[in-house]
Amino acid sequence: MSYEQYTVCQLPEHHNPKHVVLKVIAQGLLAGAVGAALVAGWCSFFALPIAGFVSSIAYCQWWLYHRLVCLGGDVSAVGMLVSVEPPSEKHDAFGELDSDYSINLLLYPNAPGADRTTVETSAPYGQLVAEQAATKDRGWTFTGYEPGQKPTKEPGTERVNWVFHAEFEGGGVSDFMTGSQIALGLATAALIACAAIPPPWGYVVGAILAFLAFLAWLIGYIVGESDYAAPGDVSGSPSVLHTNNPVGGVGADLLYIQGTWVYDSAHTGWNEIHPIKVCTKVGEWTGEWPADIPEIVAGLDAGFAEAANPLTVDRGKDDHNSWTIHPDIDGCGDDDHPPPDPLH
Amino acid sequence: MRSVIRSLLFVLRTLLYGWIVAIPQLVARIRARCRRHRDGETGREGRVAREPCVPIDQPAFVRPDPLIYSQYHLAAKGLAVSWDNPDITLWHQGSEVGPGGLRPATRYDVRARVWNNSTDCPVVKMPVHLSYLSFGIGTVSHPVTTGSVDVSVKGGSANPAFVTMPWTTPHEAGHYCLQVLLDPADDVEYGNNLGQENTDVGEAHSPATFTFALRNDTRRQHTYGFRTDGYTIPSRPPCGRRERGGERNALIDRHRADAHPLPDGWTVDLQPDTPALAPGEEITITATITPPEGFTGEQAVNVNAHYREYHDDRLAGGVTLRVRRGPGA
Repeated sequence: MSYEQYTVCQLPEHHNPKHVVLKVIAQGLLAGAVGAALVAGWCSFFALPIAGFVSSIAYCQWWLYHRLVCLGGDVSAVGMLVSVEPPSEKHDAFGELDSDYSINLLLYPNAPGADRTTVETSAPYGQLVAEQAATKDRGWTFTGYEPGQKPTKEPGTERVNWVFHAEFEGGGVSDFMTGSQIALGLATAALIACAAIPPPWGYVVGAILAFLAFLAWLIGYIVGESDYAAPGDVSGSPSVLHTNNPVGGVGADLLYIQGTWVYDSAHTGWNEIHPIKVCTKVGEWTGEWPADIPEIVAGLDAGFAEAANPLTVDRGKDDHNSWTIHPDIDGCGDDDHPPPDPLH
Repeated sequence: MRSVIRSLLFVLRTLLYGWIVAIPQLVARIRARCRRHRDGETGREGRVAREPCVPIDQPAFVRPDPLIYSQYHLAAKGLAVSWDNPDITLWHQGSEVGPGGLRPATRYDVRARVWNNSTDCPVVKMPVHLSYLSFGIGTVSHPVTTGSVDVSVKGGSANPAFVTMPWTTPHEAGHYCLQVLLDPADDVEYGNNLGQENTDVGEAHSPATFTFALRNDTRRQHTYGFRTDGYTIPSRPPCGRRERGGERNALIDRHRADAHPLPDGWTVDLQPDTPALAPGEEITITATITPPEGFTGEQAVNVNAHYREYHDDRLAGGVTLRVRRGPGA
C-alpha cells in the first residue's frame, strides 16, 4: 500500500491543546531574544528573522506532531461521499500550505440528512464520529465536523448531513518546515557573520545571508502550497470522485476508507481519519445502501491486509505476475493457481 | 532521483527568477482570498468543491483492475483473438464439456476465471453476469444469472479467482454462445470485462460446413465483411528472466492479428460474404471449410465479422470453428 504521511498523532495523555499560538510566539521571541543578547548594536536586528523562523518551525512542529490525538489506531469504514475539499480550493491563511485532500462522508448505514444523534448511535461506525471519553474527560472542545456548514451539504443542495471527515495527506506543511529550517540556519549565519566580520562588511554579508534566508523560507512556502500527491504515483489511480447529483440526489460514490482514527485539536474539535491509508470505491448511491456492505468491508479489510503482506508484494513482482494485458497474452509460466476441484 | 533533480531545478529556477514570478501569483491569491471574504466564503466554507465531480490523484486512492479474456479489448489492441475463451469453461456433473452437443433443458455449470491486474487493490464481491446467445455474431443476449467473486491483488492467494454459475439450457436444442460480464464498482480498465465463448466443432468428412447467425446489433445499416485466421492461444513461455521491454514486446508480437493466416491449403467460403444488414436484421451465414488433402488432426478457424463506421473498422464479433479429421476420414 502506498500513501503519504507526514503527521504523527499523540496519545491523549501527552497532548496539551492549550495556548498553542502563545507557545509558538513565545518560542520565537525567546530565540530572537537569545540571538539579540549575544550580539550588540545594529547586528541585533538580525535576531528578528531568527524569531520569525523559529515561530514558523514551532507552528509546523505543532501542526505535524502535536495537533492530532490518537483515538484507537487504524480503522476502516464505508460512507457516502457528501463533499470534497481538494487542496486547490484551500485559500485561507494557513490553508495554502494545507495540501491535504479532504473528504466528508455520511457513514453507513445512515440515510442522507441524518442528524447527529442518529449517526452517532448507528452501528457499526457511529462511534467514530461520537465524542470519545479520552477527549471528553479532559474537557477538550468537541463540536463534530462543521455542523450545518457547507462541507456537510451535498453540492447544490441544502440537505445537511452529520459527516465523518477524512484526509489524504499532502506534504505542504512539511515542505514549509524544511524551508524554514534552512532559513533559520541562514539567518543564524547572518547574525554570526554580522558580529564576527568587522563593519561594514559584516553588515553586507549578514544582509545577503538574511536575504537568502528569506528566499529559503519563501521557497518552502511556494513548494509546500503546491505539494499535492504527484500524478502517476500509482499507475492508473487518477480518477474522479462524485457527490450526489443535485437533481435526483443520487450518484454519489460509496467509499471504503482505512486510516488512523484521530481527534483534530486544531479546530473546534472533531474526530477524523488522518491520514487515509487506503481508499477505494465500493459502489454508487442509488437511494439506498447495498445489502452486502458488511461483507464488502470484511473482504476489503482482509484483501488490503493481504496486499500489504511483504510475501504478497514479493510474489506480485515475480516474472509470473509481470503480465499487464492477460496472462495468456504477455504472461509466462504455468498457471500455479489451478481451478478448484471438479463440480458435483 | 528524478524528483530530487526536479526539486533542485525548481529551487534554481526560483532563485533566478521564480521569486519575481511568485509576486504576481501571491498578489492574485491575496485578491482571490479577499474576493472570497467579500462573498462570505471563508475558512472551510470556501474549501468545498462546487462541482459534483472532483478529480483525485492520491497514492492512497486505489482502483482494482479486474479482467477476463476479452476478445473486443484484445482486437482493439491489434491482437488476434480466439472465441474459444480460456477463461470460460462449461461443466456437467463434475466434468468439463465442450460447447458443442449440449442437451436441451439440462443444468450445466459455467465457470469463469477472473484476474486482477492491480498490485494494490483487491476486488470484493464483484457481480459477474452470465448470459447466453444464439451461436453467431451480434445475436440477442439472454441474461441467465449473476454471481459474485473476490479476486486478490497480483501475488495474492486468489488471483485468478473462479466463479461458478448454473445454467439450464433452453428447451430448443441448438448451439449457444456464452457471455461473461464483470461489473465492478470501479475499474482502471472497463474495456476488458466482457468475455465470450463462441465455439463450434465440426468433423471434416469432406469440407466441414458450419452455420452461424449474423445480426446487426447497431442502430445503422452496415455492410459486413469477414476475416479468417488460424490463431489459437499459444502456451505461455517459461518464466525465469526478468521482464525487459524487448521481451515483453516479443510476447505480445506472438499474438499480432496479421501473424496467423490459415495454413497453406485451407480454404474458407462464407455465404453470403458481404451481407448488408438493417438494424436488428439477422441472417444465417454458411461457412464451408475445406482442409488440404491428407490433413488429419484439428485446426481452429476464426471467423471475425467487421463493419465500417465513422471511418473506423469495427469488430462486430466472431466465432471459432474447430475442424477435425481423423485418420482415414
